[in-house]
Amino acid sequence: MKLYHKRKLSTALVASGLAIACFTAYIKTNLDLRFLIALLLSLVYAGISYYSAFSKDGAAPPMAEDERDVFITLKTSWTTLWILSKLLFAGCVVTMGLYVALRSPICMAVLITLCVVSIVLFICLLCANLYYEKHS
Amino acid sequence: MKTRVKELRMEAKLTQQQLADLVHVSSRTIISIEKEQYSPSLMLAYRMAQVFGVTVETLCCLKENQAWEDTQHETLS
Repeated sequence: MKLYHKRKLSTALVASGLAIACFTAYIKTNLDLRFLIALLLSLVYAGISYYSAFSKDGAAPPMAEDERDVFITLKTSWTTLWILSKLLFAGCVVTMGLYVALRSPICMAVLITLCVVSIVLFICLLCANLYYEKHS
Repeated sequence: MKTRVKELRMEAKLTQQQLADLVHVSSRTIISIEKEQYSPSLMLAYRMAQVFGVTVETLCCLKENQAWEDTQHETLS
């Protein structure tokens, strides 16, 4: 058996660790169904990752060689990012309005999550931009 | 960007696939260039110019495109 993808193997190991943690939690919490579901999902993900790590077919799709394909990939990525950031912002505004109207703690939790995702997205975008400004 | 790819390809009696193979791109790229939906990179323009035996300036209608770009720039400013 030959290892083809080290990254996939590391993912599989992390998923296995997660599965063990879920199993431990499942036993300790008197067979809580949530942990059983998490355990099954982790096992499936670990299994797929192990298969991909030791299989030639598990390779990531090759980078597009055709210059138009590269251009389309870039445009698609940028459009996706743009749509995602707008959706996140809209989600933040809507949940903020809902929180004001309903005073529900769930709305606050959703609002904080959406804000954190927006900020992380912005930081990632900034870092990537700085990297390519220096290296392109 | 306007180019003379289609005209020169027809003159050379090449199919889109044949030209694509000669310049190492997909036929979809050639189709997009001919439809003026995609501007070729400098290297691709150079390769196509070599295939047709013309200069890049001729292939890419440099004067026309430059004039169009200048007009656009004036409109914006």
